[in-house]
Amino acid sequence: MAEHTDAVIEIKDVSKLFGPVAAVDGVSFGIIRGEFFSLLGPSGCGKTTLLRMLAGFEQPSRGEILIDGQPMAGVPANKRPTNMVFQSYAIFPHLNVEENVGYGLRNRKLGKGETRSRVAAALDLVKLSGYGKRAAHQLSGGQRQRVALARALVCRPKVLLLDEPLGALDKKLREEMQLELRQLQRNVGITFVFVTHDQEEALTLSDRIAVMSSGKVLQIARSDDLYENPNCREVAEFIGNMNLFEGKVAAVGQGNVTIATPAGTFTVPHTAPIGAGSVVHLAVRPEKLALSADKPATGLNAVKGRIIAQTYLGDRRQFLTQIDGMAKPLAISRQISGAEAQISTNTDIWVAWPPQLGRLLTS
Amino acid sequence: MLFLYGPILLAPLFSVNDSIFATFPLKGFTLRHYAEMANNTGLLKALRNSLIVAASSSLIATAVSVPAAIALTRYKLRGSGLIMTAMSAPLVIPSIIFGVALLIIILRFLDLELTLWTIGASHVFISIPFAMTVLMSRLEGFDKSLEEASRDLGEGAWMTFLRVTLPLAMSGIVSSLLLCFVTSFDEFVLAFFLSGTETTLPVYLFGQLRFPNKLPGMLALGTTILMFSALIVILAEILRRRGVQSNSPGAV
Ligand SMILES: Nc1ncnc2c1ncn2[C@@H]1O[C@H](COP(=O)(O)OP(=O)(O)OP(=O)(O)O)[C@@H](O)[C@H]1O
Ligand SMILES: [Mg+2]
Repeated sequence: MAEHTDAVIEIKDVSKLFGPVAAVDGVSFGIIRGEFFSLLGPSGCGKTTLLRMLAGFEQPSRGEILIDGQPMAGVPANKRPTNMVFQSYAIFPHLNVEENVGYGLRNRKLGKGETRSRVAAALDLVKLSGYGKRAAHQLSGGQRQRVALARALVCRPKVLLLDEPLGALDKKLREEMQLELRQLQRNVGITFVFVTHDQEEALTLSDRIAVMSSGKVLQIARSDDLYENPNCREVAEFIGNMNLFEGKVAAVGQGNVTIATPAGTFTVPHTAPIGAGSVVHLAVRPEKLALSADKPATGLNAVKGRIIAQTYLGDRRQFLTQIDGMAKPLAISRQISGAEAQISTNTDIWVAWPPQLGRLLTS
Repeated sequence: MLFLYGPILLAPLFSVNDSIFATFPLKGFTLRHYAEMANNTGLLKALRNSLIVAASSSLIATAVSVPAAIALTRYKLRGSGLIMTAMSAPLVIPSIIFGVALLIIILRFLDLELTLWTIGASHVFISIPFAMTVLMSRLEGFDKSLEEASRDLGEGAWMTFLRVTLPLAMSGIVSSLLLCFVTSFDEFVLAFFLSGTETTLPVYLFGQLRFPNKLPGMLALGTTILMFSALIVILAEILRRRGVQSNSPGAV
């Protein structure tokens, strides 16, 4: 069944109800063998619940999950080809590092030597060789996280499930571990399903991301595609910063539409059929916007405003520009190269962008 | 504090006093009463009975409480509040009423003879609330994802119990055993009502108090028991603390 799709996990119309609450609500998608797949969404959107259904700790109320082509209904967690890295790491406190890592090998009928060498290799993989005899309570947060990883990987699962594994680490360690995790995944070639509510983390790590909200999947796409082409307002606002103009379709052209907004009339690419008068949003990223003192050339979307604040961010500077007719100021992000002219706060300024860099959002 | 522990300290004091009367002024120091105690066969028999009753009732109470405590902490059972209330009934019902009720049940309805077993059975009842309290606080204290992790790593329910739940609950189990042991060993009222020809140490002690010349010997015995009980309670507390410590997540 799964041969031609090469999906290692197939989720078919899966829902999970807790009483009247649908924690996961009619979700369908596939996860491709060997990819780094992230479930991204705000707190309480159902990421953990979905992951726990993959692991076998929860049963779907509706729908079906297939792993490696096998239906998982009625298959308990201990019989699934998945392993999990828990948010709390769940390191066994009564066992040392070696015993923790070797825990899952007991009933695999490996010889003593084979077990020992696999544990050593797993510890090596997570850069903890030499720590085998440490007691669980002697480990730092980062080390506990590595032990949890080694303990899961040593079982050679078809899919590794990770529930916000970096959430408890400080920023610097988290960034280090992100890099390592990505490298590790490439080395071992195991499919990773990674849960996070940190969009930056998801963008750096993942091959593909599923953005979730209130139990539903809003969009599944590659990181760059998700950033450049969000399919709805919620995704656009959740991933990175986004400026939104609300307006109505004024005219439908060849491959583009013109929309009328309180701030002015703008052109934006669009190919699907759309009726004039529909309420839509024009979305454009802060780094796509350019500032200029003089009126920009025709052919660009342009709007006049006033700089009300600016923030220095090291590699770039963020300007907030108040536009007449708009409630929220526009955010403009400009790379700092050293050559650009200074712009002082409270000056009037033109903001412009080429039409093809805007995105039309119909929902 | 003096009111609380003062009387208790009098027992050891008079137990080494070289006189058969427990009065001031003290005479000379002696261990005579302790030596006599060791040769008293009636006393030794009662001691042996007490040890048997305490050991078996603490084992049974703890063995029953382990699965019950797991069920109550791990699964949101309906009526678990009711179960807890029912189990702690022996804590609030006066021992005398409990003793009389048991006596009637055993003699009238079950038509059994009064033996050490009937005492033991009543001690199981009064020990269970203590065992449950200790075990449940231990089981609630550790991360439930540890058991899930074990399942995830390929172990079924039974092996997860043996490899994770049991070792982590062990300090709780040991302190429950010690606590139940002390509870039974010190228990008087139920043992008094429910003993037949054989009896336990506290009941024997009470019987001997009628003879004034036996008093210092009894004080010596009391002192010995006091010291053992204190030792056991301290041990249980140390174990409990140790358990809590090994469970905390360490430096992060
Ligand atoms: N065992 C449960 N019983 C009842 N409701 C639950 C249970 N588990 C989760 N929920 C509810 O389901 C919803 C989704 O929870 P879930 O833990 O999957 O969210 P999440 O996306 O992982 O959030 P977070 O980022 O905070 O971890 C929440 O509203 C939560 O309250
Ligand atoms: Mg979660």
